[in-house]
Amino acid sequence: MNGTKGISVLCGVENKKIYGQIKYRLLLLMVAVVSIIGAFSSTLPGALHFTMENYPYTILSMISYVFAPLAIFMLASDLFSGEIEQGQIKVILTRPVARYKVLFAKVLSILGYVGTMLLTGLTVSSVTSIITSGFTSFSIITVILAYLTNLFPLIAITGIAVLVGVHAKESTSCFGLCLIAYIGCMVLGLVFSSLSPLLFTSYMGIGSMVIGSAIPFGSLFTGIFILAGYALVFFSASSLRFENREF
Amino acid sequence: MSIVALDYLTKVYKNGRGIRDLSLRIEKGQIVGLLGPNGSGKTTTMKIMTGLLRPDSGKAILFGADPSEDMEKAMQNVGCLIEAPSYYPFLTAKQNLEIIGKLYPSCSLARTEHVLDQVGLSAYANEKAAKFSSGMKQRLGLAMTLLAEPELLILDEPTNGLDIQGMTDVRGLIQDQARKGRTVLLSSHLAFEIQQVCTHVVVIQEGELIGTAKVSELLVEYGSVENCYLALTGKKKEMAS
Repeated sequence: MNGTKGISVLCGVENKKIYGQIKYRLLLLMVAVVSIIGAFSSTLPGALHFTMENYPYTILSMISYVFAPLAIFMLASDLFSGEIEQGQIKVILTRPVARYKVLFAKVLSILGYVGTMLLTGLTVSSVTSIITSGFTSFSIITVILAYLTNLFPLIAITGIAVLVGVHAKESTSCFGLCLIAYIGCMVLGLVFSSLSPLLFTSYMGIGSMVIGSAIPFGSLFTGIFILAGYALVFFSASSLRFENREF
Repeated sequence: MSIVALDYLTKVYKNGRGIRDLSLRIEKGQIVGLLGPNGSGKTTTMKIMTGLLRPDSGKAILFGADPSEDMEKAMQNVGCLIEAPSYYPFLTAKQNLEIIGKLYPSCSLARTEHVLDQVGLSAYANEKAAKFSSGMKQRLGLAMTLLAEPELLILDEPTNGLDIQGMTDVRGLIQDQARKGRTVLLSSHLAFEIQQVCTHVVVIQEGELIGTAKVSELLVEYGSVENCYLALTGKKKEMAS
């Protein structure tokens, strides 16, 4: 199979594996359900109250900080270390496909899943927000832009998770290490504020920069470049390890 | 030109096991049995051939290409079953085959059904592989190996975990593949299995190739593959002592 066709076929294979597992379908459903419950609970007296003008952004934060990292760690554990641990990786690696294409397809599939999760959050939160407070409550263009911008930190997190995934021998240790790295970076950023601009976790809410009348382009691009740098380093290291790893 | 050419393959693990200077040629249509005790290096050889391991030195060439350099060319016409069968437990037998079928443009849905029928899994096509018995998993692994109608089959102890009927079926299946002109390399530690199925035998012990022969010729000389194996390995032990 040549170049891009090979990768698209492999992406199809990885997607079938991802969506073939009920936990990943449930996670998407959970994002939708939480978005709906959050919106309608705001209309009830005494319940948790969210401002409907900002509701899609609230859901974006929830996805970016909690659901998406969780999904990325689970996916990296399953598609890399889990498959290595159980020997399933041999199903694909003994076929006429180059290893870099396998890695690329797995990464794209993880990002595809994260994209689907963001799209679910965007759609459900926007619709529920419109239902509960009308069309004029927020600008849909800005919301879409915020969701798109927030893909960058999630790409960097995917890079870290994949790097751990190609090294770890077990899926549980991969998931645990990813979680420790993520929480560790967050804590590090809080404790040592001078380190904060260098940590990817400080840019988890980068999407919020596009909200408002004056977009801080300087800070926005600095953040994007730092995250792109993280992603490049992590994906390169992952690729090197995956190409040379023995199974 | 040989379909498989192994030249001075060496792969030594930290525990000292592995293979050393293993050279071998396999021609089209041969059914070659790799015979040796557990830990003799059969699986290591096969893993290098399928690109799962990198040799310390030497080369493995399949269809003119080295799998560690050009996996796409080397494995285009190869189907393999290495160690335990690999499959996705959360998918059904049919879905497992469909996933693999996507990697081969010529593979049709009809072919998926045919292969399931060939290995006797048609009735379980829509059952999740996780629920399969070890014999059924082995059959599924074989189905995944046969799916793309490969010219070369690399089978690492393919009758492992199978009952008597299963073993007979698999051996019949391998012979059937050979009748279709396909080449087979199978490993086993069972001499009688090699004798029943193979045209050629390669004896390997402690990572070294200690003999190759046509099964028909060694039957004349030794009476059975087992006798030949014992004679060869005994000779080696004598030399060592």
